[in-house]
Formats: sequence, structure tokens, C-alpha cells
Amino acid sequence: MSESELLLKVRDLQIDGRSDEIWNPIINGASFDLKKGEVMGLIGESGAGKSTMGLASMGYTRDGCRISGGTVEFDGIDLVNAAAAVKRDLLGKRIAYVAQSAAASFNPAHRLIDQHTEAPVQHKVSSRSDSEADGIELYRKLRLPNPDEIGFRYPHQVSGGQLQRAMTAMAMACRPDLIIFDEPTTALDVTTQIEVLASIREIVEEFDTAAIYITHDLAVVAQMADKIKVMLKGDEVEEADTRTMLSAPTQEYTKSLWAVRSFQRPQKPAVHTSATPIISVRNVTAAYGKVPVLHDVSFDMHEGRTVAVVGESGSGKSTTARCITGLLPPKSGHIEFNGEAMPLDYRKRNKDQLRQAQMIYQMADTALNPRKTIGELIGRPVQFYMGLTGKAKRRRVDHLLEEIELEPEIYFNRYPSELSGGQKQRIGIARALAAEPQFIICDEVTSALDQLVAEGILKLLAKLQDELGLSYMFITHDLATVKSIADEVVVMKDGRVVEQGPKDDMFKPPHHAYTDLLLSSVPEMDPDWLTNLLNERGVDNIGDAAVGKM
Amino acid sequence: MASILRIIAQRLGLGLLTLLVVSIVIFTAVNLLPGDFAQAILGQGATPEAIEAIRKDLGLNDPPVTRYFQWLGGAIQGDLGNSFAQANFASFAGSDTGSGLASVAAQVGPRFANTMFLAGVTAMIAVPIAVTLGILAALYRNSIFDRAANVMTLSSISSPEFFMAYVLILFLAVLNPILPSLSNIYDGMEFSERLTKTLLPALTLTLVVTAHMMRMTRAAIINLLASPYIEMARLKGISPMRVIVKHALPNALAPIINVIALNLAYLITGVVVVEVVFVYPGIGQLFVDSVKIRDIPVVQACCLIFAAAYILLNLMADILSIISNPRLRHPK
Amino acid sequence: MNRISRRGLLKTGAAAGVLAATGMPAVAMPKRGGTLRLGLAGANTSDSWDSRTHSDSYMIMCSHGAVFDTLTQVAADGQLIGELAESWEASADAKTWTFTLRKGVKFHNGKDFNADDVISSLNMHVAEGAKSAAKPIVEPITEMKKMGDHQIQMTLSAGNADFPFLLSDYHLCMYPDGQIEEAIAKGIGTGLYQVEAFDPGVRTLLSRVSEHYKDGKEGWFDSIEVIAINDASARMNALMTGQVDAVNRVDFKTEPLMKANPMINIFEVTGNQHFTFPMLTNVAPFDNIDVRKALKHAINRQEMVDKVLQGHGRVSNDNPIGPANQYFADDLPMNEYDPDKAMHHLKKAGMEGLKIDLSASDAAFPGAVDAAQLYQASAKAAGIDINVVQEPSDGYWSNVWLKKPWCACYWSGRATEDWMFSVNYAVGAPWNDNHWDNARFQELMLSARAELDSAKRKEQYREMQGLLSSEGGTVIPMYANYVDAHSTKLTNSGTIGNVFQMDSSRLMERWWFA
Repeated sequence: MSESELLLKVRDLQIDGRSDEIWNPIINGASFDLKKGEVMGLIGESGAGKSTMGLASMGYTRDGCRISGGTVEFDGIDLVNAAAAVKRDLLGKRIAYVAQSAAASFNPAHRLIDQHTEAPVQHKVSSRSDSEADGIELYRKLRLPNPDEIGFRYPHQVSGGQLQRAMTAMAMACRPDLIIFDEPTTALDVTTQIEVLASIREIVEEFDTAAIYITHDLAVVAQMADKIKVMLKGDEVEEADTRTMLSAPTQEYTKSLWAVRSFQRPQKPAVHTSATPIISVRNVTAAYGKVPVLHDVSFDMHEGRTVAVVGESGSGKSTTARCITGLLPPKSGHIEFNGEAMPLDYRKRNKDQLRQAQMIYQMADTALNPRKTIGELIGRPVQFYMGLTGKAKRRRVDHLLEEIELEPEIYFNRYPSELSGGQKQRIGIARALAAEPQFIICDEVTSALDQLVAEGILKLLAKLQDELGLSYMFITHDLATVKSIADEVVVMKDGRVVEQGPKDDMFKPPHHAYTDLLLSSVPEMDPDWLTNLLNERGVDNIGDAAVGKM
Repeated sequence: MASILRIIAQRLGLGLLTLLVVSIVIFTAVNLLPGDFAQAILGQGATPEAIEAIRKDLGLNDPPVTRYFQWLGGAIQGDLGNSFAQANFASFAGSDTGSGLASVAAQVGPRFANTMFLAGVTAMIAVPIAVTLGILAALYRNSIFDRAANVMTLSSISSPEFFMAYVLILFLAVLNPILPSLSNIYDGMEFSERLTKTLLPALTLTLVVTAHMMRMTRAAIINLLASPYIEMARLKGISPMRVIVKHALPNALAPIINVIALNLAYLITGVVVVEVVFVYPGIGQLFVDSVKIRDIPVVQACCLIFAAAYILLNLMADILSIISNPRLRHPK
Repeated sequence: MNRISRRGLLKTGAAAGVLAATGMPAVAMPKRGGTLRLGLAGANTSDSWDSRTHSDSYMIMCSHGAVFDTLTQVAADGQLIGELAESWEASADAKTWTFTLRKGVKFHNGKDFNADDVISSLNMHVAEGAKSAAKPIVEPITEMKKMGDHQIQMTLSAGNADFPFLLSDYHLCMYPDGQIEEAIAKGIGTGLYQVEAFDPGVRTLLSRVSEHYKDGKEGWFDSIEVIAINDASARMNALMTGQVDAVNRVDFKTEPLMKANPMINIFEVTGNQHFTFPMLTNVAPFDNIDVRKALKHAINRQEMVDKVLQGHGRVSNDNPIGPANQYFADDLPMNEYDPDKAMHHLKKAGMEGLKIDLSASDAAFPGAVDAAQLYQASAKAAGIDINVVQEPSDGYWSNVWLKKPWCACYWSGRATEDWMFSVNYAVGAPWNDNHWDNARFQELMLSARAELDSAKRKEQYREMQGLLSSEGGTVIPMYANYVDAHSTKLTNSGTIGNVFQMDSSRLMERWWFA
């Protein structure tokens, strides 16, 4: 590598974070080089310090963080010690940033194009009219629908995937030498993700921009990066070019990351046709006010089995769950429980009917009252549904904690804030189990968790199902999760069931066209996957798909 | 846009309802005041016969419910009744004509206009200063400037109004006779003179209200500084000033507008002390005078105006907050 | 300055003009011009030009002191002179009075002033249902006979030597006959100044009428702006910052500051204004004369003057007649603060360890509660336990005064002895707040009233004051001064009236810019 090609040189970078007035190391010495036009994938679980490092590569630290050692040199400029004005001159102009949530990172008060032209105009790179024209050109290149007009909308008027591309366009506005992509597709549905990935890759290639691509999704990074760096809790694990890293990881941790995808339950035998389903959703149509959201949805769930309901956001997965729990009484159709129709409104259901269907939520954080101890949180449904008090209640809570593999003596008196994300989700499960239900709705329960942790939760759910004969309705947009846990799959789109059947059938062709799109959009660990897919689908189809989403 | 209109209509309806409830509260509370007008105006000379004569003249012997509906009915038509104090009691004048009765509206109207003028001048000075200071304090947060502004505003908030008034009089009227200490404005005064005379009370009130608005501006902006879009603006290399003015401020408008509305309402309803110190003929003084002599119609009218001002300003703040929200302004 | 020499009341009043001319000092020649700005306390939104309702300084100054005239007036030196009356004459029994009115006087609306105006103006006070503080003055007039356009004869139910004096009362302004309502609404009088603008409780703008019968003697300002400033500090400020030329009721707290200011003069007169503690003498234990005496000796009057009035006043010997009165007796034996004497009287009454309630509120007079507490402290030394009951200011005059056996009260005093006595001490008078029924006192009151011989009256009034002081039911610790201030730009004849504040409320007529 010749010195002249070197764009970013990071050496022994150390970053501290402050908590309770004490500085603790977050990054313990990371080093890497980035050449002009090179894309580096930065991978690790959340908390590994990926974002912090990405920002530090721009010479920027968030409040409560500081660079405590090492150097960051961008094109020969020392970013650690540079004056604020010097850094300001680089940021936006030569180094740009694409954030995880475009919806939150666009200012809600200004039109997209106004935000797009801000950096070029402020950095005096081009005039407002020129940069506006260039912005529209970039929108076109990124295959945004209506590129001439979309810039004149406000962020809330544009969908997430489109915003993410608009943000990439904004990062490109000054034609920077380096862009930091901080999990740009994590919040997107798979079908949307692929469009954004393709757009990003294309434009980075076209302008020969160097990039650091931060993600926790190995399959994604495999598509985007020339080389991959793996981080674990602020430490470097290993760094290698993409193909080497995928085929021959040297470190145990890296190998374990690769292995996550291996958990898979064997397919259970088909359900006997005469068996009465635990829950039967029959021709349910529902609406929020006058806006219809579900159209004639029907499917069955049987004892001891898991039905995965998949689809993009807005496809009606969670609404179906709300109909089943009676939170949103359907306009027509009915819900049967063990063959009997249940009242549609939860207020009209009896305690036993309420008890039998429990729910676990995606955000374990917000679902738990932070001022109650774990013992109280689990004890409440135990007392409410089972009528247990005193010692019997305590025994039951202890038992439930054991079931979710948390030591009762340690955790009974703790508060939610003292637990990790995975542990909180386990508490959510224990709370649901406290009612001794036959049926649990799991709404994206692993979406907010890292892969290893999610894996643990899935295994726990599988174990509980085997022990207690529970039925799960598993709402997810992650097909990997579906593959690992589901018995039956229901695919939803725009409030309708487009396809349903046993898992093995679903993952084998022939598919319904949408299922096909959904399945094929799940990135695979093959660096050529995206290229091949794009060739297969044809570039224009992606654009059409995007228009279709408008 | 239709949804905004609907929200506005809803708020307006709610405001009117609140006003109705407030009118009942006002009427009840005012009528619960101990003592009555007849006693108050007769003072040392209140004989039972004289009191009875006045009470009869003013209809004070009617049952409260009757009087409430008479009052409310009049108020709806813009007739707030006749001032007791300005009434030339028929028997009092030795003649039987009641033509000399002065309407409350005629008495309250000019005073209210004066108060609005003072509030307007104060707002003109205070709002830009408060918002600018708030922005600067947010920009240079935790700097000497921020601390100084903090200390100054805190001390101005914690000093009683009359103290601020006298300090200003000392410096601007006594030691350096720049401004008149007496703000006795009247009808037909030239605007420039009126303005000069209003400046000292306006400055006093500015000191009182600026602190609150400035701190809220600062807090509202700082609150937003952790937002991803602010970080994004910084990462675009935008100057700190522009980050705050262009990126934080437009999103902090709702709380700022609310605190401004609250302070404007205060300027209309709560400035008795300043009016007394500067002898400013505003509605506050009229209100206190009227309470003193139990001039019930005037007291009620003042209360109603105060309540309406509060409700109206909050309504306006609501509406402005709605309009400042692009999500509502530009629906999907 | 506050020493007033009054000549004996004449049976015949002479032309005011002559007297006024002689009263003019040669030292300073008054000159016309300028706008006088006054900052006055005592204004209210209920103010109107109806003189029957006037009770506070703002409207008294504006109407009695500028816009309206009365038949007679008390000159700065204390002499009674004519205002709208040129001269007057009494019958021997002081029952019939003939007034000759000034000719060529016009109201501000152009109407000529004549005897009809006098008749209807006085009748205003006795009209059915009318509420006038001057009713007791007008009521005894049994007949008003118009002798000519400018002469009127009034017959009284009983002789009253003070009658012309009483007609100088500020309530008895002259209104145009047949246009009284309009005159009340707009302020149409015969005074030196006519109303340009009137905003009750806020501001009054007056302008000098172009031709007036007082031309060359009074009325030097071209225009006058009277600003209502009820707040004491604001009022003092206005004077100190030159926003106004004179203020009334100087705030004692800022007085030293004003004294230090070379541009400001403070002028202070002791008038008849007195603060009292009336007891209902028909209620136990105040029906016992020794209890009353004990209480009179249990109060430290000088301390009260020093602390409550901050020195701006004068000790009173339980005497409602003040230094501004004609027959003020200031040589009577003093009711000194003497705990032993008090105890002696208490013992005599058999009431040792007396416990009594004293109701007070600052509505009675400023500092009344403090005064009551001082009384409590000084009485303790005499073994009297005074329990100070702090009453609410609201409704004090209706619920406490005249009702509670012992309370704090205030009297502005009256121009004549007889008036003061008949309002406050006559048996059966509605404002008799002490119910003291002394036969000799009541008898003397009637005889003095009709006595035209000045020396005899003096003796009779002296005896009455002595009776009140030693046996009366009202403890009167002090006379409160009128303390006003003006800018040195203003000047005056050197003689300042003490009937009321601000040169007996006639500053606007009498003063001028130096």
C-alpha cells in the first residue's frame, strides 16, 4: 500500500466513556488503515464500540466520550488534536456520515433538499441551485421515486428506506473522500434493505468513495466491504479481507458469530387434520378508524407448535396479534379458542380466557415498570391469575425464574435497570408464563437483541415449548429466526395472508411471488450474493419495487 | 390543513367551555367576598338604611342565580353591566333618572387597552432578548456567559417586582434622569410620549419575564441537542450557531411559544405591582381598586378578561405550536 | 406656621376680596403661568364630581380646591372669608342668616350664579335618600328664602353662631340650578379651574378659566394636571424625579431622603386630624369613670407620637378639638402617662387586673395596630391587660366601629368646635362612638352654639374640652400632622392653611411658580 493511497490512518485509538463521573475505557486501542476508495466493514455486537469508533474516525466524540489516546489521521491531518474549525471544515465536505435511523437524523423541520444543500452551501463547495440540481441527480442515481420532487418533502412524508437513500445522497453532496455508514439498513425491512444496500454500493463505487460500513449483520457486511474488522467489547478481534474472513476466521469469537445461524429446530410432523387448533383466526377484517388494516385473515395455531407470522412493517402482523388479544376488536370474522368463539373485545372476556393468551413484547425495557423489583413484576400476574399469595407465590416466582434460567436468589430483588437486554426479555417470558397460558404471542421478541443473545432466547422458548406444550405465535420480520424456530409460517403483506404452510414447504420453491421476494432478500453470507441477486432480478426491478412501496 | 382547522375548532370550543366554567367560578368567588359595595363605599358612614338603599338600587337583593344569568346574558352580548362605583344612584342624586350609570365596558376598556399597550411594548423588548439570550446560553452552555446569564436571570426571577422597579427608577430616573418614573399615560397622548412613559415599567417587566422565557428557550434547545439530527448537522460541519438556530430552534418552538404565551398572559393579568409603582393606569390597578370598594361588576369583568386572556393566549400558543409542527402542517 | 390666630367670629362677614388682598404678603409677587402637576393620594375609581360623596384628598382638592366654590372659605391664616358670598349677617339669636351673593359670577357652562343655585345646591344634601356627610349642616335650615337674585335668607331651627363657618365645608359646593346632574357628570362649577379631562382614579386635567372673580388674587397656574398616585413610594418618587411639582401625605420612611434633596421642601401643619380609641361608656367596664381615667393614664402619648407618627404630630389630651380650631384649649391639666395613678383609679373601681379587648385594624388609621400594641405595653405597667384584637380591614367601619366596646378610630376633625361635638359627642348622633352622656356637656353644647359673644363661647368650649379630657369616653392620644411636600419651583404666600392637607386643599388656587 503506497502512502499516497492511504486516506485514513488509525493507530492505537483509545476512547473513554463517562458514567457516574468516572471515565471507563470503551475502545482499548484499535488500529486500521483505509485506502482511497476502500470499504471496510466494522462488525460486532451492540456495545462493541463500533459506532463510537466510526465517529472517532471523523474526529468526533459524543457527549460523555473522549479520545484518550492514539491517533486518527485523515489525509495527513491529525483529527484528534485538530482545532474545531479545522474539523468542521472537513466534516460534511470530505468526511460524511450516514446514520442508522434516517427518520431521526433528518431534521423534521426542514425539507430534504434544504438539508441536502446545506453542507455544500455552508462549505462553499457549490451554489444552492447547483447543489439542488446535483441532489436531484443523486436521488435519481439512488433510484428514489420522483427524484425531481421528493426533495421538496419533509422527512415524515417519506418512507424509511427512501430516507435512508436520501441520507446517502446527502452524504454524497460534497463528494466526500470518506463516508461512515453507521448501521444504515438495520431498521429496514429485508425487502427495503436490499434496495438501499444496492444503492449504497453502487454510488460508493461510482464515486470511488472510501467507506467504513458499521453493522452487526455479517451477511450485509459481506456484500458491502472489501475488508472486515471484528470488534468485541472495545477490543479488536481480527481484521482480514472479506473473503478470507468469511471462509477462514481465525478467532474463536468470530467463529461463534458465524455459528449463530446454525440453530435450527427439526421440523415437527404435520398436524393431524382433525385436531382442534388452540387458536383459530377466522376471516378477520379490522380497521383503525376508517383505515382498513386487515383483510380476511385466517390461520390456525395448534398445541405445542410455533406459527411464525412474517412480513414487512405495516403488513398487519402486530394488528393480527391485537385482534387475537381483543385489544382491537375485528370489524368482522371471529377468533376461536379451543374451537369456541371468544368475545372479540378483551373487556368481555373472562379471566380464564385472558389468562390463556399472553404476550411478550419487542421492547422488554418499556414493558417493565422500572420501579418494581423482578419478584414483584413476576409476582403480580402469579397473584392475579393464579390467586397465589405469600410463600406459595414466592415459590412459584422462584420456579419461574429457574425456568428462564435466572438464579432466584440473585434476581428476585433486582430492578429491571440492573439487567441486560436478554435478561429483561427473559423476565418478559417469565411474566407471560406466570399465567400458565396455553398460547403466547411473541412480538418481535428478538429484534432488539444481539444475535448471540437472541439465540439464547430462542433456545429458551424452544425448551419451554417442549416442556410445557406451549403454542407460540411468533411475529417477526427476520427470516433467519423463522427458519430456526417455526413449525408453520404465515406470510403477510398489506393486511392479507399471501401464503401459509409448514416451514419446510415455505422455504422450498415454488413460492408465492412475494414470499419469493421476501426470502430472496435475506442477505446470505456469500460476498457475491447481492451481485448475483441484482443480476438475477435486474436493476430496474428494484427501482420498480421501490416505486411500488410509495 | 383540514385537520389543523379541526384541531383549532376543538381547542376554541374547549376554550369557550373553560370560559363558561370560569365565569361561574368568578361569579361565585366574587360574590363570596366578605363585605359589600354599599358598605365599602359608605365607609364610616354606612347606616343600615343607606346600605339598603344602595343594595336595592344595584339589584344586590336578587338571588345570586338570577344575577348570574343576567350577568352572563349581558356578557355574551358584550354588555358587562354598569359599574357600581360610577353609578349616580338615582336616590343619591335626588332625582329618579338612572341615566348617569357608567358601563363597565367604558371603564374597563381604556384600562385594558393601556395594559395591552404595556404588555405589547414589554413583549416587543422581552421576547427577542429572551430568545436571543436563550440561544446564546444554549450555544455557550456551561461557559462564563451561560453562568452569568443564569445568575442574572435567577436573581431577576427571585427579586420582587417592586424591587426591580425601584432599582430601575434609581438608575434610569433618579441618578441618570433618562426616563420618567411616572407612567401616567392618558388618552390622546402622542405615541412617542406614550412610549417613553411606558418604557420604565416595560423594562421592569422585561427583567421579570425574560428570565423565565430565556431559561425555557435554553432548556428546550439543549433538550434537543442530543437528537440524532443535531448530531447529523454537526457531522455535516455546520457551525455551532447555525446548528442551534437552524436545526434546534425550529423544533424547540412549541415549548418556547408556550412559555411566551404564559408570560404574555402574566403581563396582562399579573402586573398590579408594577402598575402601582409606576402609576400606570392599567387594568390591574383598576381591578385592585374595584376589589377594595367591592365594585362587583368591574371585578367580574376584570376576572373574565383575565381568564379570557389566559385562555386565548394558551389557545394561540396551542395553534402556533401545531402550525410549527411540520407533521401537522404537511400531512402525508 | 401652624400657629393660627383667629379673630373672634364676627356677626358680619366682610367682602372676601378686601380680606384676601390684605392677606397677601408683600415679599413675593405672584405671577401667572405654567402647568402645575400634582401627585395626590386618596383617589379612587369611584370618584365623581358629586361633592356629597367626597371624603378623600384627591376629590376634595380637585372640586373644593379648584373647580367648585363654596359660599364661604377659611383663608390660609384661618380667617373666615367669603367665596361666593360677599357678606352675611345674623339675627341676634343666630337663627336667621342673610347672605349677599357675589354678582357677575358664571359657571363654566356660562350660566350666571344666583340665589337659586344656592338653594338647590344645599337641598342636594337633604334630598330623599341622599347620603351626604353634610346633611347635619343643612338639615337644621328650616327655610331658605330668596330675597333677590343675589340675596338669600336662611332660617335655622336653633341658633348657630358657626353657621357661616359650616358653609365653608367642602361638601357644600355650589352647583348650577337645574343642571346639577350634568354638573356632577362633567364637573361644572364656578371655580378658577374648569375640567378638561377627568379619568376617575387616574388623572384630572384642569385649565384656568379666562375671566374669574378671583383674578389677580388667586389662580396663578394656566393649567393643572392632577395625577392619582395612591402608592406612597411612587408618589415620593414622582416628586423626587421631578415628574410632579407637589405631593400630599409624605411617606415618613422616605422623608429623610426628601429632606436631603435641595429641590424639595416639606411642609407640615398640625390640624385637627386626631386618632382615637373610643369606648362605649354605656358598656361595662367603660361605664365606670375610674376605669376610663385609669385607661387615660395608662397610655404613653409621647411614645405614640414618636413611634406611630414618627414625630409628625402632637400629643392630644383626649381632646377632639385641635390646633386648627378657634377655641382650642391647650392649657388644660394633662392626662400624663402614670401607671401608679392608673392603678389607683383601677383600685378605686375595684377592677385590679382588668382584662379588656381593644379592636384595631390599620383601616382605622395607619399604624393603628402598632398603636394598640404600644398601648398594651404601656398599660401592662399599670396592671391592665389589654388584649389587642386585630380586626380585618374589610368592613371595619361597619362591623367594628360603633359596635365593639373599645376600638381604634380616626377623625379628620371639624372646622368648628360645635360641629365636632355635635357629630361625635351629641347624645343620639349617629356617629357618637362613645355614648358619653354628660348633662353639663350637652347643656353647654347647646348654649355655646347660639352664643355670638366670642369671649363667652371661648369659656364654654374650654369647659367642654376639660370635661371631655377628664371624664369623656374617648382616649385621644395624638393629633396627626398634615405632611406634604413640594418642589422648590413652587412658592406661596408664606401662610399655609391647616384645616386640611395641601394648604387646606387650596394649593391649586393659592400657589404659583417662583
